[in-house]
Amino acid sequence: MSRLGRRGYTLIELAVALALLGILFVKLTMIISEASKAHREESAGMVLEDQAQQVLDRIAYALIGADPDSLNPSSQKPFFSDRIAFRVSLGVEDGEIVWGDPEVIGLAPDPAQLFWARNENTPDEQIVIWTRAVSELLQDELLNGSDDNVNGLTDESGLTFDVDGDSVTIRLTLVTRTKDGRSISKSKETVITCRN
Amino acid sequence: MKIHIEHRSRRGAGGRRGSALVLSLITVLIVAVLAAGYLQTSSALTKRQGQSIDTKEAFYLAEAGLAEAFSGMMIGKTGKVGSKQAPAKFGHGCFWVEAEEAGNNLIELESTGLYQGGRATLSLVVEEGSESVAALGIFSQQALVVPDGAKLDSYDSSLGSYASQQGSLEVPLEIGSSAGILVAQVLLPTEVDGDVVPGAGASVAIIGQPIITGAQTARIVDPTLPAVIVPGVSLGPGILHSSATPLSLAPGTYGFAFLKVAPNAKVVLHGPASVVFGNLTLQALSEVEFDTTLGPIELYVTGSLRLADTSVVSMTSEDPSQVTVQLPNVTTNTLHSTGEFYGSIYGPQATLEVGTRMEFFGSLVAAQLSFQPGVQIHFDQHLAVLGAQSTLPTLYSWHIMSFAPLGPEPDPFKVLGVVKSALRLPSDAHEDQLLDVTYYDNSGVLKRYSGMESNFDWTQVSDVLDLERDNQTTALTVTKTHNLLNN
Repeated sequence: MSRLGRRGYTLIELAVALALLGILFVKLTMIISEASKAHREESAGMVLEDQAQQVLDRIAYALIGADPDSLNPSSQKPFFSDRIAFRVSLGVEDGEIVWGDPEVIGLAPDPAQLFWARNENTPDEQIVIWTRAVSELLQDELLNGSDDNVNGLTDESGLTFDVDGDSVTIRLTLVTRTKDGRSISKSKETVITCRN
Repeated sequence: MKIHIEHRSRRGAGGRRGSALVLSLITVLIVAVLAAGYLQTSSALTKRQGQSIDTKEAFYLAEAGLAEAFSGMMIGKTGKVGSKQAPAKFGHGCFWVEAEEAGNNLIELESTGLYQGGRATLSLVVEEGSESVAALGIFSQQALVVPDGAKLDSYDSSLGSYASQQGSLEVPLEIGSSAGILVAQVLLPTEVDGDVVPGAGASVAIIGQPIITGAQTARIVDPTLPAVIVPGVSLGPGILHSSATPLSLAPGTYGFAFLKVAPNAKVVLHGPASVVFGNLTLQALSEVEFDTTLGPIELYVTGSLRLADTSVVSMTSEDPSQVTVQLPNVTTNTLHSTGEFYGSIYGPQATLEVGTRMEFFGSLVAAQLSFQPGVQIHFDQHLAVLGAQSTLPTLYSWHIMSFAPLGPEPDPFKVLGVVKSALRLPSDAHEDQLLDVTYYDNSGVLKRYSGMESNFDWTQVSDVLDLERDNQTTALTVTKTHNLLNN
């Protein structure tokens, strides 16, 4: 009896060990799960922020070479628009400025989609979706008739343009949902001055 | 017994050590996998963001290049700054700007900025400023005589009328020539309220005791009078207007073979207009009116301009910037009308005589200018200000040409094969420099040159006494300097 007992574990010892291991495993799983979730959210946030910056840069580079007189609509704060039409200079030929075909940047009928189009509504139309993650409203804004995020605009959409002379203020909020349904949003804003 | 205990202990301990190690390894592995995943995501994002930042920095560098080139053009430089082989260093990156003629007085600047892995090329088309001769004031390329009883002075039309500024303002006036100037006072007082500036190597001769309030120093370099560019309009048939009903010429751009206004007839020119006449003649007692209510009038007379004695010139405005008369060819022209003329007359090849009956307000520049005794000419300094503004380049078109990553090598200096420390700063990298040099030429004559270096012939220089580039004094260490300066 004593030889056998010494060779292995008692049932109690085994049960305690298993229980401890179980607790340890559950705790470890929880920690890993939390870390993994935090990592996923962090990654998603970083990706979203990067995407927002890239889209904003694209809009800025497109508008910076625009003819200020071609900006339409030229809504000035507190008015704004979720789309803007313009044309850019392509250079000079025979001493005359060559203007490009009309372009548009704005929200598609599905307001989550931000598109760029050239020759819109013509047979030569070209459309590119730049992102499908535009928020319904700009960050911290609620659909309540008030300027909740104190930016001078009321109930503004996730993409807004307001024009002041040669300058265009662009505001953009992108949103994404994690697997557990939590939403992450990132906002970017810039002001560009049309060079032409 | 002792042996048995040791054997038993070894077996039990061996089983426990193995399970702990496996658990630890699994834990470490999980953490390592998570960390690696996070690191990979971060690294990919950082790389992408880094590329975006590099492109943005390159864009700003290219913009800085355009700004440098544009500011250089404002002081007469070519717009070229550095080159691909020797770019201008700026911060942690570099740029160079190329400039090319694009027709119609346009210059295209193409600026390329490099920053780490980013490269951006921008294009700016600039319209060159037009040459202005208004600052010359009253100028005759050939010898000029200021006759007996003449009154030449100046005022500033932006500050009010000439009468309102009498005795209250000191506005600079320059009466100039590329040859000598004679100022005479015989019977009537002659007054020149300003500088009398003869051409390089020429002098001012004085008869009697005229009043000259300014300096009489000869200019260093004689100005070149740019040719007149006449609008390309086809000329309609000539007009001889003799009716008592005034003839109105509408705003627009057009031309006629000639316009002759008979005695007691009147023609009204309405601005804004750019009108070309073969000949323009006002006979005695005829009248021409310049109506600039709606805009300025530019008149080009390719033949002769003859305004007879007792003809009348009238203006709706006392602003000399509103009327310009240009005489492009070698012609003889007379302004003997009665009245006050507010405007500029420019004839780089023309002979122009101004009579006593006309009081002239504005600027007068001609190949040969002559005045009748008792003439009254008041230079409008505001024309010089407007002229200076028109010489500045203006932005015509801007666009992004390309954004392109430099490739795997993140060092633009290595990509270009240049050593950063050997590169020049933007302000020193312009193709051309403003040069101010005092020197002895090869004949031993002391001379001075002030202008763009590209227009200066260094081979005529023997010894340099004083040298400034872009208003920065350059140290001279040897007497025979020109070869050194060119290197």
